Amino acid sequence: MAQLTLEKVRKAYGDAVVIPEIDLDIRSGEFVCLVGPSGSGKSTLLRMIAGLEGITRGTVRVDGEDMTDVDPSDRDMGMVFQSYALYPHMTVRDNMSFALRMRKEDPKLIEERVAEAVEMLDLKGLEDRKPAALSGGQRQRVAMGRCIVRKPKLFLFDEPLSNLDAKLRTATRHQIRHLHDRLGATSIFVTHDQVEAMTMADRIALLNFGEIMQIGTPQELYLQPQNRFTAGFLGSPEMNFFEGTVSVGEGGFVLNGTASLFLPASAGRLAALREVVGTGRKVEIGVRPEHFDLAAEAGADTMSLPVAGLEWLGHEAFVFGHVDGREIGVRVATDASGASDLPKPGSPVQLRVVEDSWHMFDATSGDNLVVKSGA
Amino acid sequence: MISRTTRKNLLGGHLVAWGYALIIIGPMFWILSNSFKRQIDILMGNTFSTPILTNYETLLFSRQSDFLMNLWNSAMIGVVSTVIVLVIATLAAFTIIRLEPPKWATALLLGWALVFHMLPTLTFVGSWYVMFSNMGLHGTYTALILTHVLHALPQTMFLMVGFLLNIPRELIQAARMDGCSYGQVFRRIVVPLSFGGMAAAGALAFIQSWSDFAISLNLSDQDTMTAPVAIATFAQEHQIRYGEMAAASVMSMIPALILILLGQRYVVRGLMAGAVK
Repeated sequence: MAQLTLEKVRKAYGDAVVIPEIDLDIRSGEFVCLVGPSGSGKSTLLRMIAGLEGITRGTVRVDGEDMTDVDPSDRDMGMVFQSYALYPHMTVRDNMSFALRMRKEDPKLIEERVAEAVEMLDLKGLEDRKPAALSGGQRQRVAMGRCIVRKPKLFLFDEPLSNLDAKLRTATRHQIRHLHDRLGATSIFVTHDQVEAMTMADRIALLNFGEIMQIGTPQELYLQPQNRFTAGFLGSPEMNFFEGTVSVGEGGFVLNGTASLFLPASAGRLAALREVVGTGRKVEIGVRPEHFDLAAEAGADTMSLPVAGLEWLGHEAFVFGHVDGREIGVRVATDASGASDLPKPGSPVQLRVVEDSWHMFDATSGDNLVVKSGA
Repeated sequence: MISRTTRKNLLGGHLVAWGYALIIIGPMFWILSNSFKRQIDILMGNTFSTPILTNYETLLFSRQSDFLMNLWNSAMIGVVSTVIVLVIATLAAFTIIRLEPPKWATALLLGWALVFHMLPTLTFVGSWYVMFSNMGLHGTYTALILTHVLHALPQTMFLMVGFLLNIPRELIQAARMDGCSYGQVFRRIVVPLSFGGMAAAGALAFIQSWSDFAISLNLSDQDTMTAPVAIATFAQEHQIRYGEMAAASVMSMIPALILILLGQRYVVRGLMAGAVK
C-alpha cells in the first residue's frame, strides 16, 4: 500500500516523443486504470513506473521517496504481464514463491504466504504443476499470485485480461477488484478496454498521444467529459456527433449544420451557453445513444432517422441509421414481450434529444463548453 | 491418395538420402572390418578373413602404444574447452540480446565472430605456433585448450544467440521485478531454460575439438598428442600400420557416435532455433 507521484515525467526515443510530460498522483489504496487507444503510451508509462523503461526527464516518487533511478529489482512493485511471463521451468509453487526466495525470507513464512494465495486464487491442487499444464485462466491467476505473495507497494497490471475469453474476463475483472479491496493494495491497471476501466477503476486516466486527456472517476469521465476525445472514447456504441453552428430557439438551442437538431435546455443551461452561442463559432454537439427519446410523430423538435439496422441485446436494443452520411446509434428500451414493438429496418423513427443531456464541444479545441461553463 | 508425381519425388528423395548414407557409412564399415584383419589380409585386399583382436590388443596394451593416453588427451581437451566455450558463449549471447549494449558493440562482436568463423583454421595455426613457442606454452594443454576454445567460440555464440532469443523478454523483466539482479536472472532463469541449446552447442563444440587435426598437430607434443594426430602417426616412413590405424579410428569414433545418439534431438532443435517460430 503506497502512494505514487509522477512529476513532469517525459519519455522520448531520440526524436520520437512518446510521453511529452505527465503529472499524475495516485493515492494510497486507489485502483487507477490507464486507458487509451493503442500507441497512447499507457503501457510505456506503466513500464516507466516499474523501472523497466528509462525515464527521459522527471521524477517518480513512491511514498515521497525518489524512485527514478532505483533498479526495478529494488522497487518492490509486483507486475502482472499481458503474457503472464510465468517461469516455465518452475512449478506453480516455485513461481509464486520466487520473489520471496530471492529475498531470502523465512521458508515458513513463504509457505504460509503461498498457501494463502493459493486459497485466495482457487489454485488448490495445482501447486506442483508447471505452467505448460495450466489453462489460460489458471496461468493468469498464478501470475497474480506471484504478485500477491510479495505484498508489494504497488500492483501493476499490463493488460492481463486480454488473453482470456469474454466470459472469463468478466469473472476475472470482479476477482481482481475484490482482491484489490481485500488486500488494501494500490493498483495501476493498463487496458485499452473501456469496460474494464469503467467497471474496476476508482479513477480512470485517459491517455492519448502520451497526454492525459482527463482523469477522474468513471462517472465523471462518462457524464462530464472535458473534451471531445474523452466523450468519444468512452461509451459503446459511441456518442453521436453533429457539427455546425448553434442558435437560440424556444426552450433550447437549434443546431444548424450537417443535420438540423433541436437541443432542449433548462433555463440554467440556456443562460450559461447563450454567450458562447452568440459568437457563432463552430461547435460539435454530442449526444449519447441513450439520450434520445422516440417521438410518436414528427415535429419541430424531432429529427427523422431512417432505420438501417437493429441490434437487440435483451435488456436494450440499438437502432442504427445514417443522417447526412454519418452513422447514428440510438438506444431504445425493450419490454418483456420481446422485439414486437421495436422500430423496423427500412422505416424512419422520430428522435427527440433529452433535455440537458447533450454536450457541446468547441470544433477546434475540442473542449466541452457545457462542462467549462458550469452548466 | 499419393499422386504419381509425389511418389516419384519421394522415390528420388529416398535415393538421394540412401546414396548419401552409403557415402558416409561405406568407409566407416570398411574401416571397422579392417580393424579386425591382419596387415597381410588388408594388403592382399581380402574382403573376408577370420576376425582377430590383435590390432586392438596392441593399441591398448602394448608398451609401445600411447593410444590410451592420446584418447585421454582428446577427451580432456575436448571437455575442458567445451565447458569454457559454453560459459563464454552463453554469457556473451545473454549480454548481446538482453542487456542491450550499444549497437556498434554487438555488430563488431558478431561481425568478428563471423569473419573468424569463415577463415580457414590453418591461416592461424602458424602464428599460434610462434606465439605459444615464444611464451613457452608449446605442447601444453593450456595452448591446446585455448585454441580449441577460440575455434569453437563463433559458432557456439551464434547458436546460443539463436537459442536465447527464444526466451521471452518479459520473462527476464518479470524476474527483475521479482528482485533478481542480471546475474541472478542469468543463473536462475536463462541457464535452466537454455539447457537444450547448451546441449546442442556443446555437443557440436566437443565433436569439433575431438576431431580437430590441424591445430593439435602443430601445438601438441608427445605428451599432449590427441587421438587424430596419433592416428596419423601410424603412417610411418617405411610402413603404414593399417590395422592399428583402423582400430584407432574405430575407437576414436565411439565417443562422437555416443554423443550424437544422445544429443541429436537437441542438436537438431538447437540448429533450428530461431529459424522456425
